[in-house]
Amino acid sequence: MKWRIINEGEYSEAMHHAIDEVLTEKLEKGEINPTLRFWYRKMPSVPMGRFQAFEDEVEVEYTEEKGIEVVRRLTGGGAMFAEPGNVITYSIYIPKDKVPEDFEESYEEMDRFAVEALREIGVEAEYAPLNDIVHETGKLGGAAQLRKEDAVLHHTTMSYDLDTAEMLRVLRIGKEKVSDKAVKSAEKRVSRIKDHADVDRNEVIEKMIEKFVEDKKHKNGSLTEEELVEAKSIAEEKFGSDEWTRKL
Amino acid sequence: MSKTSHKVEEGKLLQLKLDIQDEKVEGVRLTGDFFLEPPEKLGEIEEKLEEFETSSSIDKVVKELQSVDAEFIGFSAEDLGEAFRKAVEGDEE
Repeated sequence: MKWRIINEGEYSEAMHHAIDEVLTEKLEKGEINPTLRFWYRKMPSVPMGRFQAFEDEVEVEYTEEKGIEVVRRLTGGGAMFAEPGNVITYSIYIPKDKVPEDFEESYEEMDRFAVEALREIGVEAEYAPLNDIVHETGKLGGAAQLRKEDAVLHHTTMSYDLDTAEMLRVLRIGKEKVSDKAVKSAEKRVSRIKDHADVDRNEVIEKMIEKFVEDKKHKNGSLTEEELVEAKSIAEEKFGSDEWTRKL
Repeated sequence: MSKTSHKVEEGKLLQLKLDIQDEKVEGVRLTGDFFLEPPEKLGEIEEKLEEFETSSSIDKVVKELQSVDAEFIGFSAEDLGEAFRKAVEGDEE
């Protein structure tokens, strides 16, 4: 099994999710190699969980005024605020038989390379069930998966140097009624890689790639023209549409 | 419209909105930060809940939810049954 590593390509939030859909489908059909892809964004954005209610999660007026792109993901989980250069997001497209069936185990295993990379640069990160990466001071990031018949999409976003004050203006965290108040305050506690290690974002990504390929055959690659063309049309028709993103 | 937010202990948030007419559930909307595989089964879960009345036994609701061929991640059929009970009781109008 030879991995393709893609560490390039700056796209809109909708395009990134379209690329996720295209590569997951292509892997499902056995048309491509398993792939690890790092994301580069153009604008601040909110990837929200597939089953979340749009108006419960974002301050709609504020995001419209600021031109923050909100996109409903293919995957469940919660909404996150993302800024170019201030978060690290990667997607893994992997055959299902290489992923533990148990969800908790699979999240821990799929993010292990990233957690190890963070520890090597001095960030005491660890996995926390079900789908979080945490530091003792708060949540560094979260992951989400989509499972097809033969392929799994696993994507993770971590805060590198996120503007958390802006995040609280963009997301309606804790504004919906939550019975457990402790959970509410925990959700507000974001921990950032840069708070714990003075390491350039690109170096963090390089370290992650180094850990990922340690035990894997791999080659560095790009998205193909065909993948980009397919993704572009899905970005326009689906992920960039209100019909999809505001459907719940 | 009757709605509730139910935070599953060590799990995800279930937000349930029920449209209740004459003690019958006529419409259901389930949202939250949970996971569901395959995700396309959300509609089936909502349809199952639409079969019930405010007087239905929660055991029956849970059994019906367990019959959905999907994996609930971050919550269980029992948790969703509990959310249903809270919504029916008018936890939050």
